[in-house]
Amino acid sequence: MYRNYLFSALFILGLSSCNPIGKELTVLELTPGEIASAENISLKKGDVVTIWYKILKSSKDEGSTFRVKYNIENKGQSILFDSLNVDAQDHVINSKKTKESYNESSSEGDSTIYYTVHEYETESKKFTVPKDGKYSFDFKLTERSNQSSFFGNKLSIVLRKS
Amino acid sequence: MMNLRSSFFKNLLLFGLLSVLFLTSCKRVVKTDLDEVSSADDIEEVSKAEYQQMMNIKVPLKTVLVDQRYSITIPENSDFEVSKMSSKEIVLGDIDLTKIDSSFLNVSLNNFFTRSEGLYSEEVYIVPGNDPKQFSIDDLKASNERIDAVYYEDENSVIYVQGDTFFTYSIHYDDMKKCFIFYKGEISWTQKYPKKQKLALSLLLVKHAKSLTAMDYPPVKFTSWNDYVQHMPVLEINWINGMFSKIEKELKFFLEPNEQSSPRTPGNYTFVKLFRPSPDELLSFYKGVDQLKANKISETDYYSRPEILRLDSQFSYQLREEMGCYVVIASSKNDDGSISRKETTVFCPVDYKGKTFILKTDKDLSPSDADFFVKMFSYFSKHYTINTTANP
Repeated sequence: MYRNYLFSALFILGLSSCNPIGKELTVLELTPGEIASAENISLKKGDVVTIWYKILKSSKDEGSTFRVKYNIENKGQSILFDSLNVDAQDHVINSKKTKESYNESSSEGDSTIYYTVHEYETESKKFTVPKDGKYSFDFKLTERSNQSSFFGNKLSIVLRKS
Repeated sequence: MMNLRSSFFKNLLLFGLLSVLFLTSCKRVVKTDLDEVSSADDIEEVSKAEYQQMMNIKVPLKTVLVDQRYSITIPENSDFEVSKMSSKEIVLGDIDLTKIDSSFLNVSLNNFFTRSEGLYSEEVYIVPGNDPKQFSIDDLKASNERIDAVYYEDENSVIYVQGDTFFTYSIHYDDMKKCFIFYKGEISWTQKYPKKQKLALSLLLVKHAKSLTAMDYPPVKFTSWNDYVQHMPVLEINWINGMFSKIEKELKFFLEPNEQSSPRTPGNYTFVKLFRPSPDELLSFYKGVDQLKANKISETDYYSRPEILRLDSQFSYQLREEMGCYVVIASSKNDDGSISRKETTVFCPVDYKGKTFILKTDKDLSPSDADFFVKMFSYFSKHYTINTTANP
């Protein structure tokens, strides 16, 4: 009987030791209006590269709507140009909320303002490598609305391979 | 008893098998090229062939008069600033100029690469002295500081490195004017480039240093972007190509109508802007060009245009067309009519797949920089890249 338990336990342990989200290839921090690139990444046919957003949002700043366009190249030829799905919330990992504060002085005296910083990663797109070779990934962040600013929030792209 | 023992061995076997499976299952070594970038960056002393190769590079030169007395020959694309006394301590190796008993001149050379990005710096010091043997090249190697390697040395020049900072020094004595001409070129450790590229650039600085006293040199004119690239150090070429690979991607993929982009350099500056103007903006740009050509600007045209070509009533303008580009020189005049400042801007329309873009230099250029950008932009407007290896 205990053999079954042992088997299950080892099976779960074995699974959890694998990296189910894939191996991290690179992290690119995005700046509005600038192209950020990961160049010359060697990939094999059939590799699946998953594009994740890593977002750091602060509740004290207005949320801004943004858009990320990306381009994947092999041997100087673009093989995919598209926009990332920014609203995807199906697969969220590494979510962490922290409470932070700052002091504000006013005529009524000092007060402490509390706000929450939410950091998480969310899966956006999967790209299956069509053939062996070196690939470049370019990303450009643009803000949709001019009213709000991206200031205070941070957005990075994490590329993982599985 | 046998049953128990057999069951025990079975379990042990199963346990062993699963352990092996568990230990090996997820061990995958994935090698990416990002790791390979940090390949060996060891460099050796400059060989005669490498030295000769760099000395054969064509550098357009001009001779300028400093302090109405000294003639020096500098690269044509360089400006210079002269200061008589320097408030900061100036030490060249073991020579402390501030302790020398005569006033000296400090001539700072500036070009497009040194001005904002500070890829390197070039300083010339003119120090009066009657004894030609007062200083030698050995004095320029600081004896009390650690020198990590000397990569090149001859009777009047030296290249050495301290940490990741490359120094190029040279010393000349002018018999006629009874003065020493010191040259100091520096590529800082903050510039993160391969040592090999830094050394090649340092060698070019040796050429600059050796040209300082040249009086007779052939006129050099580059006729194409390819020509420029052939006579530029790899570090500068890579720096420009790095910036333009972003401009290239903006042109081909990212830039949308009415947008503009000016990629940031590693030092967080901008130097080129790419516009994708609306039909109205484009029309307004060409109207401005026509007015400048005819030299007819009406009062209402000032400040009225969108950003691409904005005219300011404080300036008088000149426009010339070269290789599909427009070079606009704006001069501001003092009250007495003398020109106090000249700003040069290069524009180049680029047609790509039925869409019109405009390239524009983002920084105020000196007139001597214009040709470099005209050749660069003109090449880009034909090939949609400035990488000459693709279209030699």
